[in-house]
Amino acid sequence: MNSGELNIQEQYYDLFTEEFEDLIDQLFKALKAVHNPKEHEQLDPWNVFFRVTHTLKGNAELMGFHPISEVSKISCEVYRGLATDNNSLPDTQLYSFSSKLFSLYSLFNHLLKEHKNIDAVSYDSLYQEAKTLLERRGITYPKN
Amino acid sequence: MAKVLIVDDSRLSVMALHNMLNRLGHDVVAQAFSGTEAIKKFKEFKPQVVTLDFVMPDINGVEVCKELNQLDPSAKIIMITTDYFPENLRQQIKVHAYVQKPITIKKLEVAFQDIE
Repeated sequence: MNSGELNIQEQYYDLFTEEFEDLIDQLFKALKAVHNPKEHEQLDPWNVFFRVTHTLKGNAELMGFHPISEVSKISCEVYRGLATDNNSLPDTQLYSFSSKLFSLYSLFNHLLKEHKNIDAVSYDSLYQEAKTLLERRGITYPKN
Repeated sequence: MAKVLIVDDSRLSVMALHNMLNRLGHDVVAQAFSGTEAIKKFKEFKPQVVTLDFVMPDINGVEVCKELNQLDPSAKIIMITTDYFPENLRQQIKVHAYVQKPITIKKLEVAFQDIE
């Protein structure tokens, strides 16, 4: 690894948190749309969650923010293919999980903006819930 | 040195890619943050290489790639993916190299060597 890669976190810290906040805002709008049939159809909220978790898993990994990357990786799998797979999940279950994910992301971003360590944040219960949802869709995680 | 178009909906990814490509001596001629913008910038700037994100808000990377393949079959496409890129999608498009996130300068360097 060269010096350019060593200071990636330093170089992009502010941009990451700024973009993270925008992405959380997109999730907030998507959550609001879940219970509004017209908005649900227009916004496709679970696809918004898929895109955001997909973006965050890459960005957080680049930045070395392991907890955000881990949560995003498994959550991305929960949302992947929901529109096309037959083994989808009821909106109620997805809403409950997504609300917790939204809160966790908000906590991570708050801590990052305060320049606090995020490694101590517990995400095990959300991680387990994601695994359960994936099992209900017949998906084993992690994939072999 | 290649003329490169970066396509990614994440500002962080675009900036990181831009810096890394500059350090590798390439000329980033344009950036696009959506599939629609990518096609527009591709026609306008005629890049030799496109780094293309797979998941985007409007048109996904596969559909964009199909369009770019048609517009200029000689342009090289580097698909930026995460750990998941299904084989059936790979078969639908002409991609010259894949770079798996997280992006590093080394991975990009190897991808550019592969497409030469």
